[in-house]
Amino acid sequence: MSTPPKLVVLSERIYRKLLLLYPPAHRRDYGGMMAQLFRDQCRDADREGRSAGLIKLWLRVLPDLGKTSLQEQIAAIERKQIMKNITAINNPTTWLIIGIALGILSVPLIQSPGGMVLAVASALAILARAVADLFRPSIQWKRILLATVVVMVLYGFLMPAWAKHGTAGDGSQVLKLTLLVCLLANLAVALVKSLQFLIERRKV
Amino acid sequence: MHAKLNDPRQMLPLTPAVFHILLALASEDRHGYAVMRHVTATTDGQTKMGPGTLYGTIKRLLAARMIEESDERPDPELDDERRRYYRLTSFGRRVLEAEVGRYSRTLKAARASGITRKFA
Repeated sequence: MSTPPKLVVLSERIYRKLLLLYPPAHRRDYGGMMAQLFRDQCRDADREGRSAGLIKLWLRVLPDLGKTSLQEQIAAIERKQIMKNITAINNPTTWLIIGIALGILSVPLIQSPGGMVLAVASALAILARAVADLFRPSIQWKRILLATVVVMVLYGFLMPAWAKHGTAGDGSQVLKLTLLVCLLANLAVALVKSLQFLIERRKV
Repeated sequence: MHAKLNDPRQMLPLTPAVFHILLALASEDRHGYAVMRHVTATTDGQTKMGPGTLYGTIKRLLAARMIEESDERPDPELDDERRRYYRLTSFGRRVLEAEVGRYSRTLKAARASGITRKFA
């Protein structure tokens, strides 16, 4: 194989530097292939038109590089944001805080339909916390148990307040049932995780 | 994604880059440089893809499962081992067929209105 002309080598070197404009993940997956493709294009351009061919190639490649590197950077930022949101949604502590906040907020409003909705939403957030905890490793059983105790104590205060101010009828029954299911789910997850930890420790 | 996988029409219309890459892979497995050369040849040099557009599009096509990496190499003796080959998936082929069908209908309508007379 003959040695490539200096201009081709220089062009390839510059292009490799310009690849730094792309996000690291894209560079890792495609940077090598992009550089290889550019080298092939450089050789074609040099064969067809020498320096003029290379200049034409650069004039075509530079806007492509600017546009696509920007697109990939934007996509990488969006992906990062989505991952951040997914992590927050999967975080039981986030659900616990939401549940507590909604529960406290619902107390003064419990006589209105809005208050009832907040109370049910609080219970559902607590249920979401239990579901998120179900997928945590059993080694975190102490943290899960502690959070469950916090939920129980908090609801120990909230439930009488809801009962005192709450309206009787279908809405109240729905709230009671939702609360019961959500609290039992929390308790069940804490027990399952504690048992799972004990069983796994015995196996080891 | 599943809905998209079931119905190729949901992917239409395709961008020119996607269409040309799928078309290049319809006849045989190719690596990036071969795809680029095929696109240049079939468009009489009017469409020349840069490495950024080509691999950015390939990345999205892989994510949409319209193409996949191929282990088969036409001739390992003549080939650079570092090159990655791509092939059309059955879903990718259905999408391409749907797009060609759409183009055909558009062309038919254009012919009916006398627009394409000078290209005949």
